[in-house]
Amino acid sequence: MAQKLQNITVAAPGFFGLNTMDSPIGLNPSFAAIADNCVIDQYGRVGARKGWSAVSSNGSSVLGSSRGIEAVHEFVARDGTKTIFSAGNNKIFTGTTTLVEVTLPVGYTVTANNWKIVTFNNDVYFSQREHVTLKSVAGSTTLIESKDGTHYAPQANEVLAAYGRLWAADLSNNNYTVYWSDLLDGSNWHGGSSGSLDLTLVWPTGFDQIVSLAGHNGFLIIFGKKSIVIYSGADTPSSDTATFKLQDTVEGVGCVARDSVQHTGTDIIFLSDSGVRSFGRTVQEKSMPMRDISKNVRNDITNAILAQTSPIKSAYSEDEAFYLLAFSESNLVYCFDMRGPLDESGAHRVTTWTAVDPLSFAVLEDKSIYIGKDSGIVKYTGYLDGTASYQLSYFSNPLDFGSAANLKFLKKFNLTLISSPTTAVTLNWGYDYTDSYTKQAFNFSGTVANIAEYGTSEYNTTAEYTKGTLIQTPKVNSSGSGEVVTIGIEAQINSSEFSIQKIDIHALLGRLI
Amino acid sequence: MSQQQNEAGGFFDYLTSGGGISDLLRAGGEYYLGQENIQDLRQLGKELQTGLGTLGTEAREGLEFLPYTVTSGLANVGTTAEGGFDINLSPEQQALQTQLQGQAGALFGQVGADPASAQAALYEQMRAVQRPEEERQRLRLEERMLSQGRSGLGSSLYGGSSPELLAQETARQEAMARANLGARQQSMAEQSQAAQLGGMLQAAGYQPQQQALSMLEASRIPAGFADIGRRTGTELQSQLNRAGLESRLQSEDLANQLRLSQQQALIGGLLGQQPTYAERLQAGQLGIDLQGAGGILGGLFGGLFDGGGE
Repeated sequence: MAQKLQNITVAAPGFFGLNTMDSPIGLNPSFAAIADNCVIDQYGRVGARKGWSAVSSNGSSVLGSSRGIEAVHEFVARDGTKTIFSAGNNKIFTGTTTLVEVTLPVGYTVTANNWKIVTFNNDVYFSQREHVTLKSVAGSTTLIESKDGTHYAPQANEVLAAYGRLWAADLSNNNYTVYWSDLLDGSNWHGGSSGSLDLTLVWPTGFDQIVSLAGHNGFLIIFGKKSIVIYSGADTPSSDTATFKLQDTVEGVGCVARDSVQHTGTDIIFLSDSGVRSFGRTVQEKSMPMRDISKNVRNDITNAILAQTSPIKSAYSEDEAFYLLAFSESNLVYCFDMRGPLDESGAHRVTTWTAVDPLSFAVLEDKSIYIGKDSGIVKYTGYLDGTASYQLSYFSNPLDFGSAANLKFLKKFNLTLISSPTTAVTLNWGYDYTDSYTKQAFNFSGTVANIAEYGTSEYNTTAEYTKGTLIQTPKVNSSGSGEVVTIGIEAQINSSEFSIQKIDIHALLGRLI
Repeated sequence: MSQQQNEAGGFFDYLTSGGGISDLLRAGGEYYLGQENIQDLRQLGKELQTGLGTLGTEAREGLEFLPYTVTSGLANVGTTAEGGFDINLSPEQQALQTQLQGQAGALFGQVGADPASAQAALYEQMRAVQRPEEERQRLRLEERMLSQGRSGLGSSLYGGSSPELLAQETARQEAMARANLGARQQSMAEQSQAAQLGGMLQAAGYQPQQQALSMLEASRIPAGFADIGRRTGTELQSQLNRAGLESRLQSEDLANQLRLSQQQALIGGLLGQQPTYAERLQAGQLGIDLQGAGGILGGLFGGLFDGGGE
């Protein structure tokens, strides 16, 4: 006797992002096993990330065979003038479409590109380990050495502009002392109210090494590799009333990448050796519990950390509501949706990006995102990587549809996609944990419609109108059976956005196994 | 030649005359008497010299200082014939004096020492008193700074240190400065005090001798009594002996005069009185021939020679 088809709906598939840490059986179908080149869009759907378009045009000539642009910084002068500084190929550049080398001090030699570039008091400071700190006065393209008389600024790998001072740490021969400059004078590290803090006796674990600094809500947060110490009163570190003092310590969790620390306005995100974490601040209690943002991809992150030898870069875009973490040597970018945590654990939705290969990020004042690449500076925009398309991949975890003991016979997929009609999409499905998927490419013929320039057609013709993004509802017949089912969608993103709204699966539940 | 015969004849005439022999005897007698008187006077002078010498010796011996000794439980003081004195303190007093003088010497040694050494010693003593509390405060501050995570703090405003450490170090340095200054003042005061105490001990060390000398001084009154008696006796003895000698001298002189007179009278009786020049002048004026007063022998010899001549 014929058995009734059972309809299974996977709404907003991948809404919870990747989850590679929990057992796939019984896992919420909203988690994805693969969500590559995806973001979680404003409607909670898995969608294609944006591509990039080149900003600089002379990258190949100025960068040579180097890795590319490894640092990007936007300086906004008091008068509103904006200057982009970037670094690569042991050079420092200014400009966007044309990268122009700045004038370095006479005899100055750059041997690395891991610059930490900060704006402070209408000047720009360039600092990295074993390099005399450079200074651009009011955005000048002629850099000078940052010093006060004969006293140079610390040759620190980490510099922070906060509370009216520059803070520096992580020198080649001293990664346990935090230095701060005189008030409002980023070149004076020897006089005035400048000072230093030796953390040798402060580390909660007995020993650690400073990696990064952050200022937040009057606190100076000092990230070690294995621990974190938080100081209050950082706005008056040299006060004789001892207001600058230890507020809290965190043991066992530190920061492993200087450039992974990002401010979200209400929180600080950083990469520890166990994943991405954030401080959730409770103002009343003045304590700082941490949340594990990357809990769902913890092992993937830690493996990427281990594989990385070059600096790990990050960016936080308030506009895009994501936190990007780039592992250049894994050709991988983790994109954390920062709209809110999934649950009490603090885990955020996460997707991955490949094929971008960023070496550095900069979020500009106008919210646009600049990416340093091997080719120069590019901008996160559009839906092409330069001029090339890129592939979105979404694969679910193995689904048992709530009946783990029954065979499932997939009959038909009814997809609801937000896509351009020209986007090539391939549906994948497989049974019982296989990586050999059955693929079915499809197009939106028959469902293609022209959209009006203003959402309506003046004459109900194609005149004056171009194709836009539409809701597409393709239907794909499927075959085979298995205990658990993995479904996936691969889309070639080519100049238009793409999102997966819903997947309806018509399946027939079979006998008990 | 005839003149010489006349002159020789005159002399023999004179000798053969009664007057000449008498005069000759008289001269011999007077010579003899003179010699006797001279011998007597010489003898008297010698005896007088001897007597005065003896008197002087006795007076000197009588006036010589007789040493005496004053003895008490603290000391005995013996005078010497040379006019000095020996002080012999009792063993207890001698020990006390030695002790006092030793202490005084030690104190004077402090006085002569470099005040910087005493200052350094005093400074160390003062700092030794201050250090434990400083150490406690330092540990408290260290613990507080450690708990506040400020142990490694350094600021250019505080000379590269933290305000707490600077304040503590400033206080410590002030304490050190005060201790140093106090030690200096104290060392000077102690030096002055040592000088005073040394002087006092030194004076006290001299006290046994002073007391012994006072005792000797006190003995001067009874010793003076004996001395006065001895001196007075000696003086009286000398005066009496001198008076005796003078009396004897007068007696001998008188005796000599008497004997001389006696002998002259005897000679005059035997040989006639030799008139004096005044008597001769007087006799010449009166026209008296003094030839007839030649005495017994003058008369004898005069008659002898006169008869023969005739």
